[in-house]
Amino acid sequence: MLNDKSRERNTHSALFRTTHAIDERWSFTALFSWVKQEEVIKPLTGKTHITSTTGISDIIALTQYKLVSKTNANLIFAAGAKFPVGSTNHSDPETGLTLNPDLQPGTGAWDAILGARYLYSGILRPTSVFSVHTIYRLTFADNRYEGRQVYEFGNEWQVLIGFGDSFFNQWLSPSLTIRYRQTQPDKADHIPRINTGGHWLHLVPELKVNFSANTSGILSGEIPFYRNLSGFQLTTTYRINVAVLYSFTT
Amino acid sequence: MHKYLLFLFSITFFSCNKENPPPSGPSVPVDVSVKIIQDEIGDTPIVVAGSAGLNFIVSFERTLPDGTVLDFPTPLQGLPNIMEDQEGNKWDIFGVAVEGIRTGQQLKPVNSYMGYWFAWATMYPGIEIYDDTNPPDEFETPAVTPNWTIPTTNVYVGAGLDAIPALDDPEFLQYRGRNYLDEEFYVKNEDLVIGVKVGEVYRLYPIPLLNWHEIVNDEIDGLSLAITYCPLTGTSIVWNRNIDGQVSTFGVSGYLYNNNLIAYDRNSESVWSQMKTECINGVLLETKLETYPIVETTWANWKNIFSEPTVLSDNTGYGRDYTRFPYGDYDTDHNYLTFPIDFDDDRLPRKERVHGVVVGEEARVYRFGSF
Repeated sequence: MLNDKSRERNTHSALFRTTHAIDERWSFTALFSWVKQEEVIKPLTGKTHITSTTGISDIIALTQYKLVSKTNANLIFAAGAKFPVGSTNHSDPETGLTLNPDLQPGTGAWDAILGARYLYSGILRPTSVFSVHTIYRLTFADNRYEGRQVYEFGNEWQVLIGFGDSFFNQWLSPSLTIRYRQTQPDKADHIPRINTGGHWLHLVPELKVNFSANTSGILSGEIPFYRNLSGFQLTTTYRINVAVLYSFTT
Repeated sequence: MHKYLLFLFSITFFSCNKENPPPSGPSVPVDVSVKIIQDEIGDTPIVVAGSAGLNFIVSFERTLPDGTVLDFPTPLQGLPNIMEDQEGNKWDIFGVAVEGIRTGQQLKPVNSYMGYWFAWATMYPGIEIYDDTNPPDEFETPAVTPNWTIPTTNVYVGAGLDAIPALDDPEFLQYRGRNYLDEEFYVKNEDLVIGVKVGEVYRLYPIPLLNWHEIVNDEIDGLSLAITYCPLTGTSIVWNRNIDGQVSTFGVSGYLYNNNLIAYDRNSESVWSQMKTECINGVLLETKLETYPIVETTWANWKNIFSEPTVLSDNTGYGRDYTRFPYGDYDTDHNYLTFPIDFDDDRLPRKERVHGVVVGEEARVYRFGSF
């Protein structure tokens, strides 16, 4: 374990999500994002180094189908893709060398995405919501370094089980989610990378404040409480998310 | 109906840590006899001594400052003395005469070090393999990039500047067997350890620790040295930190050239190739590093050579588990390269450890199988 806190990663992002309902059951969603990736390295001696990149990230497009649509229950299936439109060639301004892939706004690879979401409200109180969400991401290869290496991220499966409620006339909405994530090893030139892939189990507390009908703020965190990783790899410890949401309907 | 959600901003903070793999290490020694190869590279007579079982190969020039060219017909068995010349002088693993009329004299080291075959083959395309007549495949040398001394085609950013932290104020300990049970010490018998000798001072730098730090900025007997090791090419090289009268410290740039360590000096922020031993980009472009000889062998051997060796302490201030190798099975999986390389020479398995010798523009490697 690295216990010296010498590395820190900050991701700032602005997301724009648009959903178009075709009818009562079918809808289409697209997610556009702009990200700022920042790596802060604080060695015990010497100076702190900050490297950052900014740019438009990959676009996610999903088609959704509402199989069950009741007053207190919804079951939605989704399928779509991640389009690798984000930049992958940001370079160090001093040397001109292309920065490492995890600092790039885009991934360079296509993903196929399958998901399902079940929502049930009114278990304990009329405003409470129980949710189960699962997502499978099938990844495709990326030709990195001008085609000199074929890199493929491992496929990913996530399950999120959450419970939330609203208080003070829906002004305050706390929730607690358990997130399980499993990834297969990445492959470079078709050879699995032993230091990739594994299982993560995180607890995700969230507090949403609804300032108005279309503006809200979210403060959430991620607390890891189980990990079983392949080999030796960088992984997240604690995560804090701060977000402001504005929604509008036409 | 169209519904839009605009996330005005979302900020995520997270820090990182690592999980660890099972340890790895070289195989158990079998044949512990020392053998000697007398060779010439260009017009330079050299002697290469080694033992597959004892896991070391060292090389020196055979010409003394007085012009005498020594022959070494007799290998000696048992460390630290490894060979005897035609005058009856006995020489140790550091190339110092320890018996005979030349006692105290030092053989001139050649620019040589251990490393993975693929690294030698791509840095010195077409390199000769001692006692092997197989020709290399055809290769094309990429063009040198402007403001660099190398082609940057295969220079990659593996990590951020100082993400792998060099050690600046290293602590040492006097290893006394009676003070440690071997299983308690972070270095195991089969682990490789670099030995550096300056004057009468010897210091040992275990590779299990260098895997995590790659550079130790040290001072030995008044000499400012950088002890460097690249875990991806298996190469250890020591150089003088005094460059043009200015003493600097070196850090790990995170860049890799053909997977080999690129260091940076903190005075000028120029970047330096470990295996090329020169400044490859920056204000000190083309400046050569002054290297110092090292001996790389196992911790078990060093404990036989010194009764109480001075060894780099694992009290570094960094929370690392030095008994674990950070790169999985990289050191044994011949297929596994982190980044592409200029030239992939398949005459030997990529991760075979060989001893390379560079004299002028010529280079040759020696395999453990030759000993």
